[in-house]
Order: sequence, then C-alpha cells, then structure tokens
Amino acid sequence: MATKTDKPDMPLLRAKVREVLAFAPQRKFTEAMIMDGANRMVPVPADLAAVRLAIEWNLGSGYVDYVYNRDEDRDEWFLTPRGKAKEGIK
Amino acid sequence: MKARSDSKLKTLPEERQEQIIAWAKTPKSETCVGGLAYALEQLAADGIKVSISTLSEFVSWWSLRARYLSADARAKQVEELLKSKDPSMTPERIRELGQALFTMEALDSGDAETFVNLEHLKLKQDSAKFKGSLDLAKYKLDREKFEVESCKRFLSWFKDARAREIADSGLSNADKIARLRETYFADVDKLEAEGGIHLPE
Repeated sequence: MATKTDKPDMPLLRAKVREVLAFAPQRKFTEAMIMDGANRMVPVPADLAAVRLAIEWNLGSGYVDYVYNRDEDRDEWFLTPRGKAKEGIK
Repeated sequence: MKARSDSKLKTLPEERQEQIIAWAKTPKSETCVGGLAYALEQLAADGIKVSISTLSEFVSWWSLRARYLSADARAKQVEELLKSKDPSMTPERIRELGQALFTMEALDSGDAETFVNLEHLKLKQDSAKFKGSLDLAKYKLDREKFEVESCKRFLSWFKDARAREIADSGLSNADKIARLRETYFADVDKLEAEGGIHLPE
C-alpha cells in the first residue's frame, strides 16, 4: 500500500497523463481532470506539482499541447498528432 | 487507442473487458468471494494470470474510460442538436459549447438538456450584461459631456462680470443658483413659455 512518503513514479505518471487525454482525443482536458484521471491509475497518488511536471514533460516532448480558455481562465490540454501516434490513435 | 503493455487486460476484446468488470462488481455472498478476488479467480480459470494491482488498475482505467466516452458521446449529441436547431451558430462556437459540456459531463454534472437550457440562460444573461454595459457606457459618456460642459460654462461665466457679481454677493448658494439660472437661461425659459421647447420634468 502506498504511503505519504512514497514518491510518484514519474515515467508512469507521464504515460498516464497521455492515457487520460487519449480517452477523448478530440477533446481538451483541464489540469484537474488530468490529475484526477492519472491518480486513479497509479499506485502512488501524485500531487499537483508532480502532475504539472508530468504534463510539462509531455509538452516538452511534443506529445501534448494546450490552449488558454479565456472564459474559464485556465489552460486546457490535448494530445498533439505526435501524442496520438504515441498512444496508437489513428 | 493503444493498450499498454503493462496491462494484458486492456488488450482483451470489449466484451471480455465488460465481463471482467461484471465479475469485479459481483457482491460478496456465502458462495462467492465477490469483488476483485472473484474476478481474479475467474480470470485464472480462463488462463489469464494477473496481479491484484493490475486488475485494480484495469478496473479504474475501464470506469474512467467509460466516463469519458460517455461525456464525449453526450457532447457530440449536443453539438448535433445545436447544429440543427441553430444554423446561425458558427462551427467554432458549437465546438466550444461541446467542449464545455464534455468538461461538465466528465465532472459528473449536468445532462444535455440542462446544458442547452443553461447555455440559453447564459446567452440571455450575456445579452443583459451587454445591454447593462452599454447603458453604463452611455451614462459615463453623458456624465463626461456634462462635466466638460459645466467647466466650459464656468470658464465663460468667470470672465463675465454679472456672473462674478452674483457669485460674490452675500446671497445663499440656492439664491445664487436661482439668480444665475434666471440670468443665463432666461431665453430658454422664454422659449419654454412660448411652447418652443419642452424641458424634461
């Protein structure tokens, strides 16, 4: 069982970020949706800072991108074509 | 979508996956251990050996995916509805609304009809807000005009000996104002008396 002192498995968390986005590849996801989804699929829950790092890693790798939603004042994330290819989405 | 190599279960056909979920949801009884343990037993009987953590992760993945698929389907349904009901709506706006509904649905709140109603309500509120902002802008403009006009009058009256005389008199402010009005708006009063102009009450 995971404890509070366990560190999140970052490579796994990065993959889970993409996996969440792949559930609806034509849609955009808020940070909260990604965090909630990813944490349901990892043995050690990650905090927001770790999830942000995982998202940013995917951004840096060209797998995800975002748009700023002015109405809601938040970034919304989605898989890039490269990210979709990585997830095996045609 | 590609299933990960860390899960044998995600690569199984959809019906098999549904069967596993049904096993995992089986309640405990006198004859059945129920839950994940029961699903593990059944999988093992089918020759599929996985750890409880793999099974647990699969169940989470499956329910999460089901939620997002459902949210996506509902959003598409509303997009189609909006397309047919409101041809004036741009594809971009429809996509935005579909996206907003997807987010709402994914967060387990609302349904298509409620969303459409909410959106109409929002449009009405937006219209009211817009009208309010126009009124406010008009008020600000009127006020600015009034202030500029007052300053202009002050500057012109300041040079006027009669105005200064009234201002320097020992009359009360109310009487000074009355005298100034009589002096400078005499022509307006006259026109009004003759029915030439109608001042608001």
